[in-house]
Amino acid sequence: MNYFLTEEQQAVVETAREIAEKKIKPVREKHDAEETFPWEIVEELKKADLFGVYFHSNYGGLGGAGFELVLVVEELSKACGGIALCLAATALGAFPIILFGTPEQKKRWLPDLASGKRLGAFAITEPEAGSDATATKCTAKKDGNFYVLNGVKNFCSNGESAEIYSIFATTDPKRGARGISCFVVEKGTPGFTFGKKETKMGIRASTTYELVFDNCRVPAANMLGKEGYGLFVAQATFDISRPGVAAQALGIGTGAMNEALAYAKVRRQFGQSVLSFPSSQHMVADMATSLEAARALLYSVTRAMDVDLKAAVDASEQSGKTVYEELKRVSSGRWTKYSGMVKLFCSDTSFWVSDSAIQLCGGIGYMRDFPVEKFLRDAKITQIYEGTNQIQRNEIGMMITKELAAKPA
Amino acid sequence: MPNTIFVTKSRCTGCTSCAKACPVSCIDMVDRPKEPGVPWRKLAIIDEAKCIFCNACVEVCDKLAEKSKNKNVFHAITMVKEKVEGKTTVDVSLYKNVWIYAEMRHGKLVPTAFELLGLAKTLAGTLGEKVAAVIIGKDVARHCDELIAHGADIVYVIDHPTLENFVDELYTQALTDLIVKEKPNKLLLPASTIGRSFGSRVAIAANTGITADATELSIDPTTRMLHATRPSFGGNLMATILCEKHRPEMATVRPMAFPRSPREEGRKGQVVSVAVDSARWKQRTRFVRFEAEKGDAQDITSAEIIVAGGRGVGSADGFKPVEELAKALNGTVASSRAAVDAGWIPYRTQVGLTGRTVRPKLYVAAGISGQIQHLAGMSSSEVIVSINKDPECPLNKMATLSIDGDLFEVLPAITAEINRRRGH
Amino acid sequence: MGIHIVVCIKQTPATSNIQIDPVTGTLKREGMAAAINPFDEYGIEEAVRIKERLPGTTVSVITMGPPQAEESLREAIARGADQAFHLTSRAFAGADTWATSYTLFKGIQKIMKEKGPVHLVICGKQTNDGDTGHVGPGIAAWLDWPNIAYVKKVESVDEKEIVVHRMMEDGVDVLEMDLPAVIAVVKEINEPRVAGLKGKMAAKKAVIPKWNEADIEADKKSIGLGGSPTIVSKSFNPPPRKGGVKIDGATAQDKAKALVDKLQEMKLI
Repeated sequence: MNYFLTEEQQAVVETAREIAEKKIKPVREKHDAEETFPWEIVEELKKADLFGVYFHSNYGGLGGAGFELVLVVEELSKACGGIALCLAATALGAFPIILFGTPEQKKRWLPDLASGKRLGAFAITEPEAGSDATATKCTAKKDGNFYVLNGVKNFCSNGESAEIYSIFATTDPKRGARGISCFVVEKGTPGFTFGKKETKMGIRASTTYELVFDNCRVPAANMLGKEGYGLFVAQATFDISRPGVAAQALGIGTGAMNEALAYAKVRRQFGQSVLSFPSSQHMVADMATSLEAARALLYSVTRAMDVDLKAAVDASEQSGKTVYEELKRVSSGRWTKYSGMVKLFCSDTSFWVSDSAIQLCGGIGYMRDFPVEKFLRDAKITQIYEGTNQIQRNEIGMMITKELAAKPA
Repeated sequence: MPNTIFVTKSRCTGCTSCAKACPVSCIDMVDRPKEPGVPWRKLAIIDEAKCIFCNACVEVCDKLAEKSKNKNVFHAITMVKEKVEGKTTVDVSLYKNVWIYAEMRHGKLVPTAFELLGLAKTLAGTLGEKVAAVIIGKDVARHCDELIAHGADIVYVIDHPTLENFVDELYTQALTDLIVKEKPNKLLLPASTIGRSFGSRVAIAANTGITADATELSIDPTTRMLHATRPSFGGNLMATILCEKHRPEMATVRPMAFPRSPREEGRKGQVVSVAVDSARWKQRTRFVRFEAEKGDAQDITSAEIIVAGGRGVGSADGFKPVEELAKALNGTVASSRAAVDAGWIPYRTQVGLTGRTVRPKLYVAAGISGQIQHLAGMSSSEVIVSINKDPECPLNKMATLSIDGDLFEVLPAITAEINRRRGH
Repeated sequence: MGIHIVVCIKQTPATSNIQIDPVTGTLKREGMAAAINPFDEYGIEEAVRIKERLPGTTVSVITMGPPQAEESLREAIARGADQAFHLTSRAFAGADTWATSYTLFKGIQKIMKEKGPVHLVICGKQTNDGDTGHVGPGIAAWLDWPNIAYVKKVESVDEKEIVVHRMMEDGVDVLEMDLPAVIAVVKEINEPRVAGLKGKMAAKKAVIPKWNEADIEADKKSIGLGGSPTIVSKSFNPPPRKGGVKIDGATAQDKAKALVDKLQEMKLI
């Protein structure tokens, strides 16, 4: 279907597709089996300028926004959702800096993130604080021009591989949700180490680590936004990052369907191709329809968000105010409802489509040396991270209720 | 007037034969404007900018004209070649004898020299001229007897310490000086790394033409010219190349394309020690060292029996039955590009257009479908055996002996059968 | 500092599309796309890698070919080349390797006249349509520069000298060579990158000069078909090798027996 991409967006898609086909497909099985980080693909993405698609040109980026990120992540995920995460998780780590960074902070970190020279990561989850971020136990205690971090973050995507981390810690445990602040912590900062490396069901080409802070002194200049504003930072980040997860999910679902179609077309049973059976065709019809509906929702929401986001980014480069401040000025409201919808719909679709893809292939689809079962394992995480789909439903429901309440009867 | 080629519309039936024959795909089949009484629906259009004026399309169309009962169609393509004026021509009568370059590689005489000597003897026989070998290197005079025994009437020895190892520029200068002085009629080099590297450089320096990688060579008895035929497009098109106005006519010859000339004990020949003026040489390249290929790897190009595995072997472990059969046959293991690209076996075993050319007595292909690029490297093998699950694959179709079946069943069965008959 | 590299490329039919007509056994030409000669892609990549490790290096690309060959030059810019030059004229058509290397030599001289000295010329090992491998060494002969072909590794390079590994049948030669010089590279040398976004944008905008025989001051007697010492006297499709005997048998063992019988008959065992 023609989504009327600009020439630049078309180039983004073609470049990402070429890397997916030529570079990612040959190595995805190995990284999945061995749970290794795809550094050689990071190099390819760097050379192809794909890390920079959603950064302003002042930082060496292409000048795009969320939609360009979505296009890259979708294409890469068609080959491997785990490998795509090296870029997608960097975006999640970069968004707090893009949204809340001062001009100095942006100059410090964004160029390396845009070039891919250093990868980014985002850490909010803790053993006791999953969906409930207000239960954050990791502390940041002010000491002169420094904050001293103590505690543990877990399940950090790009952990250990990344060098620039957006970390959430409580600066005032008494204030609960209003006591959390966000810091940029660089790899190598004394007191910041890596704990357990997780072994996972899917996205095994992505490193997931526990981060350990033991009297880690972080300069006060590394705080994003004001003290106690951490949850705003997190929420505003999720509003624009969830389409990235949705794109990953959509790519995984599409990749699974493509592999299954290729097989079902050549597989012959009862003297005819498996694809030619009406039962197969109905499955394929449902899969393709849902994926296209997911894509249409994802693209239209992201494009609408980008109108505001790009205007805010441009204004911020002029005014020196943060993008978040500018966003509040240009935007009519938060994007929580729609970004939740795309994440929810794309990830649920991805999971059942990947499941159907295996079913369509029959026995071979279940085998590890055939590339379909991996899509299902990779798809699962998209229903969980950056807010489980239960949380998405809560938020969407809450936003709708709020809107109703605001309307005059 | 530049070269011109065009299609006579009324004679073209739109049969697409010319488009299929064109090596540079410069012929498009377009929809023909409707005309009363013309049943043809397509028309050939030639893109002159891409055309290399090789005549392939003209020949195809003319051949169809010969066969056709309808004398109004075919013979539709006209080609007019540019008349070349003033290009210096040499007095070809001054050039005598058929030379071969006897390649030294890391201190060893490469046996391809004997293939070239056999070929040169045939060509020189037609011409009534002599066969000469040129050998370049350090302390190489010791090979003269061997070259004479295999058919050289004259051996030119260019011996100098700086020539110990192959360096393009030095070897070019040494050989070119000799050519200018002695004026050979034909010069054949092996189409090896060394021969292909400096052959073309010598051709430019000696102001003459060269044909690369020839597989068939003959002399036209009337014109006394060398007809060098070579495959291009990975063997899909054969082209016969002439060099009309320059001498020597040069060609690099594909190793293993010709049989070795037999050794004749007591054969007499002349050895000419060539004086070199090394002071004139530009020494801008320095040979540092040679790192020999490690391991017990046998060079597949000299193997008489080869067992090759392709995509069908499925994995590095899948080469086990291939290796076992090779062992039973006293042969060498080779591979197709698919197996090399998958990382199952090293590149040096690769047969084909981007690998090595082999010409063994027996070539056993297991799980190789026979892409044209692979066939280019092994189709001149004497006996080809192909084992493949797909009876329709090109290799099974062209093989001397073909077996439809799973290589993992058939290969061990053959190995067992051979060992049984040998009484193991 | 840095050096100026010229990469010679050719647009050839994309081999990945090569298919054989099942009826005639000949090549199917329909729909064959043109692309950069695959061996030249390694040349472009190596030049760009040298640029990355030797700051201040400029990479130029040059091709001789019909107007549509400009696409391949833009592709080269997308892959990291800085500028491109297109030698195009009806008079260049039909050139053999002698006339092709002469024409490219004149083109390189013109580049030197306009853009300053060239230190290194890189060619692919051979083209996938002609398969000669003669043009690289030929250019070196015309330039009177040293050259090394079949290069599988550039160990080091600076403004004065290049150290390379040459792939031989029996191993690897290591050689040092003064610049300016010419190298021809094999596919083992690198893994070409996917063209980047910035490169693609630059490729769209690039202005590519088109030079004809007069622009490069070429001797008209040395270019094109007329300037070529060799001519193609005839082209033909090779006769297909006749298929042989199919060995049948109920089991793998039966087939193996029948095969070994045949091989013994032929005295191969």
